Amino acid sequence: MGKTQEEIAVKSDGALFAEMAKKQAEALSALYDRHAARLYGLALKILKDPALAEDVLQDLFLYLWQNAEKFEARRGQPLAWMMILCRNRAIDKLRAREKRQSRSAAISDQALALPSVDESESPFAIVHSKETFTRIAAALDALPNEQRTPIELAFFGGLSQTEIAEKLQLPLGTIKTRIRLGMQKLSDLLKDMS
Amino acid sequence: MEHSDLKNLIPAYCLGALDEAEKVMLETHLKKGCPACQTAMAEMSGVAAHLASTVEEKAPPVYLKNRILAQVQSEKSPSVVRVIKEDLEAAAVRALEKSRRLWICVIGALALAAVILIFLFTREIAQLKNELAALRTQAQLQAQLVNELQQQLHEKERILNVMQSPQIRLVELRGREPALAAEGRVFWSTSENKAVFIARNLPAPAADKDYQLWIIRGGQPVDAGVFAIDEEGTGVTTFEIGVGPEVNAFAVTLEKKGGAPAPEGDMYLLGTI
Repeated sequence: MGKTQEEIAVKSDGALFAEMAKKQAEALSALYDRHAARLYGLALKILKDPALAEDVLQDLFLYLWQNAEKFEARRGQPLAWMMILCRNRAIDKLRAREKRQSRSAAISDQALALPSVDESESPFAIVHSKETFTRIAAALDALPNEQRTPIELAFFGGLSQTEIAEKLQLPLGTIKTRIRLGMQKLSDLLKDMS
Repeated sequence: MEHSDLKNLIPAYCLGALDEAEKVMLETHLKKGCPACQTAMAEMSGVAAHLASTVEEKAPPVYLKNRILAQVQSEKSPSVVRVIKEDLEAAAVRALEKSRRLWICVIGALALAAVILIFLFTREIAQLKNELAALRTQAQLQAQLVNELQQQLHEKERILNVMQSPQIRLVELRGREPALAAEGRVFWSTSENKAVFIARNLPAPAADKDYQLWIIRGGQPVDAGVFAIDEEGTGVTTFEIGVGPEVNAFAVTLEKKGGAPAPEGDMYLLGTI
């Protein structure tokens, strides 16, 4: 028997994953309603192609449906997990598309391989209120451009440090330093928020 | 690479921005369970996850949700099909096993029946062989008897033939030492030139001896064949008189088994003409 919309709506993400593990399609529907816009926004920012972003979302929710029990067993942060999964899929698709467009860059594309953020461990602590999102965005904006740009190129562009250095025409060491310092500053800002 | 250098790779690692060689080095180090690096990993992973959250929300097209739910439903359906398929496969395996057991029983029963039949046939064949051997022996005996009877019949026919002759000369033979009681008669058909000899009261000869009949013609003995006698000392034989000098007498001597070319043993009967 399916649950009523009201019953579903008040459940936590973790509870929805538990329902999905029992193959309750209403739970998947509720999870989609709750997070699809943020996930789609992420995929679209990375891919800049609505059709590909839709594919990423479809692939992601199908994966969640088929692997709900994996999340349930881990009891991590559901949205953080979903965001990283979404990011990885979008980057995969981006890499695949760019390989098609520039075959001559095939060797350097190997360096783009994502270290596959380990989906079996979720040390993230995202508080997904509107206010928190705004503050995190503000923290990123607060970074100097020279630090924010390489971080965004890595995370949303799927580029390696070497490629970022080439793209920005800066020494690799400089890029490494800026990424490290920028990430450290973001971490400090987030600690202050919590 | 120094530990501090490895630790400095962590922020870029969490952004997916390390080159392959650096990534391998860092992952190898992390596998060793360095506590400082694990803490840094947790911290920087959190930052990376937060970065994803900085993106502006964007409503996906309405049809996307329906497409995803439809696909999920179609994912569920195959599972039902899979369950049915698995049930069918299990049923097939059970049926196969049952069929296999049935076949084993059938083959076992057939093998047992075959063994019993072979045993029965073997016994029957052995019996038939024995019966056949017995029948052969009997047939041989019968054939032997028939042969003897035929010989006897031919002898009787010869005797009858001689005795029916219109011209018969009778020559009587008398016993001599050591068989004075013995006697014999030659019925000589002069027209057929054949004769029948009948002896009586002859003593049983030794096992290696035979009585032999002689025709004495021109004073010389001519072999007329050996003959057997029964328990009462009676013997009958027919013989050709042949041609040559005048027949003077008939005589019987006891000779070695099978007869002798010329008389050597004692004379038991003699009848002169």
